[in-house]
Amino acid sequence: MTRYLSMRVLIIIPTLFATLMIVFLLGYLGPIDPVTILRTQWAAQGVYLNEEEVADLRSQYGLDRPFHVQFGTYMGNLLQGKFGYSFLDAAPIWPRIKRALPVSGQLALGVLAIMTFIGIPLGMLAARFHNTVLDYTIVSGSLFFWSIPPYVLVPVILIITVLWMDIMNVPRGWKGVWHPSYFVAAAIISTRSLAGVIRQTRGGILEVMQNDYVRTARAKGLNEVIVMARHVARNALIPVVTSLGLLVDDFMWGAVFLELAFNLPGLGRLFQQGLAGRDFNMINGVVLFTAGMTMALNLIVDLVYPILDPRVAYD
Amino acid sequence: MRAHGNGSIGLKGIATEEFGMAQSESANTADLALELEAQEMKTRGLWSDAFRRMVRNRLSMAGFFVFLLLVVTAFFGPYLAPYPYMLQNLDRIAEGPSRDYLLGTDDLGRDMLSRIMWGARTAGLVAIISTVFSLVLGMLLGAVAAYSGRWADWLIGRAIDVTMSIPQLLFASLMAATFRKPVADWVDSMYEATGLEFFSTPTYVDLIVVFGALSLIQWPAYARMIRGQILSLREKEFVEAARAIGVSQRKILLKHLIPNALGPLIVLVTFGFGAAIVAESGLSFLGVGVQPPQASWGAMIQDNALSWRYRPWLVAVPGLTIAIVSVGINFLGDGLNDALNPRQAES
Repeated sequence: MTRYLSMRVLIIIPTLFATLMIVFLLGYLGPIDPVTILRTQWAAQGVYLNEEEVADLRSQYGLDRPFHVQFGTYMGNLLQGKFGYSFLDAAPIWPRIKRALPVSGQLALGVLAIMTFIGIPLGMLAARFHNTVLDYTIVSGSLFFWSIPPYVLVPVILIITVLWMDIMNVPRGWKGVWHPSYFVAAAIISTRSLAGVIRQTRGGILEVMQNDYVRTARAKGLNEVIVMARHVARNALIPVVTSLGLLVDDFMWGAVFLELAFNLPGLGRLFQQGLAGRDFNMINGVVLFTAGMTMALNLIVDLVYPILDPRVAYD
Repeated sequence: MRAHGNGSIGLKGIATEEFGMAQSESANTADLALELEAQEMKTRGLWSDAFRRMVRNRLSMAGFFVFLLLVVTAFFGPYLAPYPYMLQNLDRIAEGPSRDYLLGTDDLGRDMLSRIMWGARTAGLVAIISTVFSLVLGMLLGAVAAYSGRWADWLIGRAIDVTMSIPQLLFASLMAATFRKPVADWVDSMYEATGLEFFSTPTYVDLIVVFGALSLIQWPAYARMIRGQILSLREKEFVEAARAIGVSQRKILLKHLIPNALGPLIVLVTFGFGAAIVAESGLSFLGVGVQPPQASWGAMIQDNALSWRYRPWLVAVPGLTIAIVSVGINFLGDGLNDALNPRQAES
């Protein structure tokens, strides 16, 4: 048990290192570096840099050095807790990420709440009324919304609600958890995760319901609600927990597009800005965070699993 | 309606077929083919059974027609389109649907229908090629991981972990942003070396970049699944039985492992195909995919995103196209899942 867990924790370090190295390498190999972007930005304002000044700027940022030197410097700073500075406006990266984290975190919590309080009950309903119209509607409906990407869903929702029905304004900016726009945003991001939760819950419950102990519980006259709650749901929901690690991927997929459309200051927006400006330090910071979160969630799932399901034991 | 009702028939179909196969292996090998055929004639096989279930599922049949329509438009759309994708009619800018322009024109006076049809070529080509690339890569690595054990397995497992820990959209857009220059240089040098017309346009640079980026994020799913399928099927009783009676490794692979792994694989490929279309549009939407003036559905949404309030159809047309294609293909995948993996779907 301890051996397995320590191995499991230790493996995170090289994995995270490899992840960072790949992302850093992609930036290093890329055709456009931040200085190129800076040059076009300044040129737009009438300040033209000649080749020499561009080369100076590059060496000032250390962008002309070989890969291992650049990566080594970055890793050295990172180990001291420094995320570096933005190449575009020289502002430090960490405060920005720190400001974006609560926004993304609260959105993710909203998604998690929708998954738990809407996804799981819908999945249970679909399983309970297996092979009925209700079941087909829930499963097909969730697949339908899962299929539509956020960059389509957002404009279509805006056209319907703002232009045709005229029931709301375009939700722009971050107005906190209690503003209606928060629910719109969380609902749009959750469409992807929701379908997975509904399917898994439905499948899990159908599988558990075939077990003999469920028949026994019914045979001894137990109330159907108690059978579902105590015997079926508790066993069926264990696999649902395992997909928690996928949450980050699904979340970022929605967040990048949604935060761009609604101008929300979260991690997706930071990444999109970083990508547009080829601001490597920013990109690295966001990727480091999201990849770290994925690994942490997977680790937590592994830790919790033996508690939820005592049949699983690590030796 | 989904055809769930006859799952038990499907189960029986598979069970008798497996049993039949194991039996006939023991017979004289010369009669093997004949007997197998006879067995399949008597019992409805997995495939004909799956086909029946598939046809009965109306949603997934509709999805299948959407898929067909996309493939046909991807190959022949540019010849069927009423106008070239770049042709501007400056007298008729940003019009609604009319007789001349069935879906209207965009801000630059280009026919929306033609651009949607050219965009189908982009989306279809990207989806087909990146799915094939990632499938081949994933199958190869997955099979190597399953068969060679220990070191290769560990290494491939870590590679999958690393690839999957980075959110896919982030990874793909980073790669698409990085690969453009090297690919452009390579295409240029190919043009100089060969003089082929194919290498003379920058269109293929974008496409190759997007193929590459999408293949590199999609292979882990296939590799994981192939590895899992091989490892679990290898331990199944019917494979053990075949091995016990001395069936060769090659025949076990061809007759038992591959046919059984094919069902889940086809389903995964279908969903992967839909995901590739959505991802291509997403990358183009973010500006790192197919570059203007090339037609891409995602780029069409992004180009017109600012004028959604005044000319909503410019956003709605490409948006609904993506939605219909994606929903159709995923319903097709879902129907295939019910048809090919009845045990899993019924469980």
